[in-house]
Amino acid sequence: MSVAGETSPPMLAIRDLQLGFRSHRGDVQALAGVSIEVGEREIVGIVGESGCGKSITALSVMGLLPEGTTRVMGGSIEFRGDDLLTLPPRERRQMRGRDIAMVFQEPMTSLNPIMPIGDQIAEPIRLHLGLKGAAVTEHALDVLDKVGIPRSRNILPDYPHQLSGGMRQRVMIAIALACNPSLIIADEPTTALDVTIQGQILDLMVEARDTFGTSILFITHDLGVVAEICDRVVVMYAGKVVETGRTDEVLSSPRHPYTQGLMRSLPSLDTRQERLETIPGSVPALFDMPRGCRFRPRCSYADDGCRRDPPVEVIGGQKVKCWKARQISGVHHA
Amino acid sequence: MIFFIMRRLITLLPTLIVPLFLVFTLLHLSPGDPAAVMLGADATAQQVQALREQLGLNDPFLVQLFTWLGRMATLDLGDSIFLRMPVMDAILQRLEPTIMLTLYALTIAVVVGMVSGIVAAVNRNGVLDQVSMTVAMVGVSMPEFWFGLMLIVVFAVEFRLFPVAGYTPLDQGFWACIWSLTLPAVSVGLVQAGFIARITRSSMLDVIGEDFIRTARAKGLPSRVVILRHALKNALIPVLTVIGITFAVLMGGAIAIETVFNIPGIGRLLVNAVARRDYPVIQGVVLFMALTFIFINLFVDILYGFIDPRVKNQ
Repeated sequence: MSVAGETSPPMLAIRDLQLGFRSHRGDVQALAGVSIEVGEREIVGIVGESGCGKSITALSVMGLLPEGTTRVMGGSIEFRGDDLLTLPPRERRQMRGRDIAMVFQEPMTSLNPIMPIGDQIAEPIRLHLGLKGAAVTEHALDVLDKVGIPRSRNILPDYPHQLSGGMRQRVMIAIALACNPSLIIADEPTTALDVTIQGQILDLMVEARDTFGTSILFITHDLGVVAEICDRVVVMYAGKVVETGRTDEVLSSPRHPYTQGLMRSLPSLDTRQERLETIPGSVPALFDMPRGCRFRPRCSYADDGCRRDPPVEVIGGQKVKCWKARQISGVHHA
Repeated sequence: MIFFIMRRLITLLPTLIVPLFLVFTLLHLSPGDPAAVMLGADATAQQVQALREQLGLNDPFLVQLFTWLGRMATLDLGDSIFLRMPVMDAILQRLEPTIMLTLYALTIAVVVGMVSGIVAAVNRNGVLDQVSMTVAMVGVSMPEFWFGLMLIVVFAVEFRLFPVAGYTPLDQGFWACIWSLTLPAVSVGLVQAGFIARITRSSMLDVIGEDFIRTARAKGLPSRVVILRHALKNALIPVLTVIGITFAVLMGGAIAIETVFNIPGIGRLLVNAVARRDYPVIQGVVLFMALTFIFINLFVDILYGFIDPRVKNQ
């Protein structure tokens, strides 16, 4: 496993990204200084509850933020050294699908329902690789073969509704892999699938990294998925990164109270529980953010000191944005 | 695809029976004695009675109905009481102006409507959106005949670019025919374009919000391709439905427009027949309208199957 971000320059470096939503209650901050790095051949997971800003982060890397309602207010997104945010729109568009590709959550709705699978895979191949005619079909079949759909099962003329959920997600991954991108952003690619299929799709993503050296930014709310495939994990809460580190470290000794809460709320197979533990309270609304540490109202360690913006503490390989990080270090989930 | 079309054709049969039955019954129940009307005010009661007997008007309702249905099955629509010719011939004679006007107006409506609908959707809430939707709203709310009259005043009377009224048949040249139909086609077409523009816009907006549009953008496709190849084709079904209805309604004769522009089409034939209580003609025209409607809808249904593969499997 490569420990990237230390020796080689990272493939992707999101630095202090600030993003605003325009809403009827005025502008609100959706991302408040998010920094995430993804190294060569690295799989980095972003975990957090719905609304923590993980999908918006992914879309801002792709340059697919909803126009008019979202605005980048600061920071940079460097991809192989270039700041994507200052790139002309045309160049940015040409990078999509060629250098950075994306796999979405719902394979059913993410595929065009009335276009044959073959045409949907062929589009980026024609566009970015400049192939024509039979070469396109050949390449498409190759890619499908790589995602575990053998040539003998020629599905090119089929429509999405004729395939199973797992097959559809394989097709989505094939579309993403079609032009051999350096980075794939996967936004909850297994959430909509059966558990048995989830494993296969995860294996496929790891395989893509191993064979093609693709870096993957993997967005999920499922710590089990993170444990299975991610080299490093980024925990987000309310538009901020609260903890990062190697997956094994973060999951075995979470330092941020929020990460600890997430770990505690995982169902366990070993002990029979009547009720799952939950984190008290709920995610604060964007227009009503608490001052200082955003997790403060839900945190059992919080005191008045937490009303100031917490520093980033470096403990071992982990970076934790919490006043109490050192104090509660080593406290393990029950 | 063959099976899909066959299935549609079979489900069509009951849809054919219903309008036939309704047309016959409604006329049968409506007041006024066609025999008396035919013979005029001077006719004696015996003469009327004799004609009623001859026309089969004294037979029981069901007998009349089935005799009539039998004739319909052989496409015999009977003879017009006033025009002294078979109803079929009367309709066929009036068909050309109606078909020409319909196709011309429909072309204008589809081109103008779809283009402005797409432009409006792509520039949602922008200036182009607001301008085209305002114009569409005005178009939809405007009576066709009034718009037609305005066009006559401006383009025929003032600038003398087009004839004030009348129809030049096709056999006197295609362009001469088109030229004579321009003002009526524009007045009908632009009003219908308003409907098509509005449905195109809303359907496009629905589709543009879908996940697969985001996928298309994520592939790096240029906006033009995303909009035309991915969004438009998916947005087409509701648009096609409205176009089909417009087509069918126009084929039934744009009654007001045909009157304003003095075009000898189906609409005028119907109005005149109603005025003279020319039952066979009324029945024939109403039946013709119903059949046109049914077959255009069938055609639209089949098009759905070509656009959306999921339709076939339902």
